[in-house]
Amino acid sequence: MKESDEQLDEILYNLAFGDDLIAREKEIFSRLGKQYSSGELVVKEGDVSDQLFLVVSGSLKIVKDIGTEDEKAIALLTDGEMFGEMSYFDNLPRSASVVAATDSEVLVLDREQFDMIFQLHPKWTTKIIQSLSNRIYLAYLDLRNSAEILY
Amino acid sequence: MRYLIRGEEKKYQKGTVIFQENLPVSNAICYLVEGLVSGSIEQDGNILYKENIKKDNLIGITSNFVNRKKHLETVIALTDVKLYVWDKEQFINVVGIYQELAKLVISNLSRQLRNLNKILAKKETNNRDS
Repeated sequence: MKESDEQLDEILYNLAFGDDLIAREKEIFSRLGKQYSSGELVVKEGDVSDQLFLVVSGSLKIVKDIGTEDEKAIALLTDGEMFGEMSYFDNLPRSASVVAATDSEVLVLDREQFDMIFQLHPKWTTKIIQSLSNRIYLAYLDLRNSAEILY
Repeated sequence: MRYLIRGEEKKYQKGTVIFQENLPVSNAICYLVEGLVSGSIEQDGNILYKENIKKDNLIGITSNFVNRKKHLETVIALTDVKLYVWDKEQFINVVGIYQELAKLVISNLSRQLRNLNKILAKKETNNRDS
């Protein structure tokens, strides 16, 4: 494994276990990480991209129809959560926009780096499944709250 | 499929209720080896969401990973089906070993979430227009 991969590995480990980033890891963050100010657009609905994102700090909103009268926030993402996976796996345009709800730090991963996560960190797989399951559950609750019969 | 290990195979006849919404979670995550099932959620006897799930997809994940003790969906066999069944611990172990299974699981969940978001968006539009 290359040294840079080892450092990324360490960041992912610490994210998975909730530890703070240390100085050496911040060096890697400078390579793969981006900082967003509150209100800044991170992902735009309709764009095509296979990048994946991991929240290092702060919080971000998933928003449908941003900038229109139909705009709606559908989820809030915080430390350790992932977004962008839907386009990654479906190869379809982004289904929603993502906006920084607070000043935030995010790791931006390409396919190769993401595949490395699977190989090195089984715990991350579980975390992603957990995160998606929670979002599906919230969508079910939304459906129940609206209670319009669709079938 | 090389990742169908550590669990057990089960067969169900057409019409069998495999999971029942609001009954205790069965601690079973299933890979659909053969056949077709439907997954749905209901409220007051009315179906709010329904999808057909084909072979080589998974069922039972969300109910096991959300911190609730009841099934979130009803799953019914639409044909005779063959399932490969893991408990949650076995599933976490196997999904951590086989990258292709992990990607299949995340792809399944992503697709379901995308479908739900589309339905919610459609419903909001309907509500606004009515």
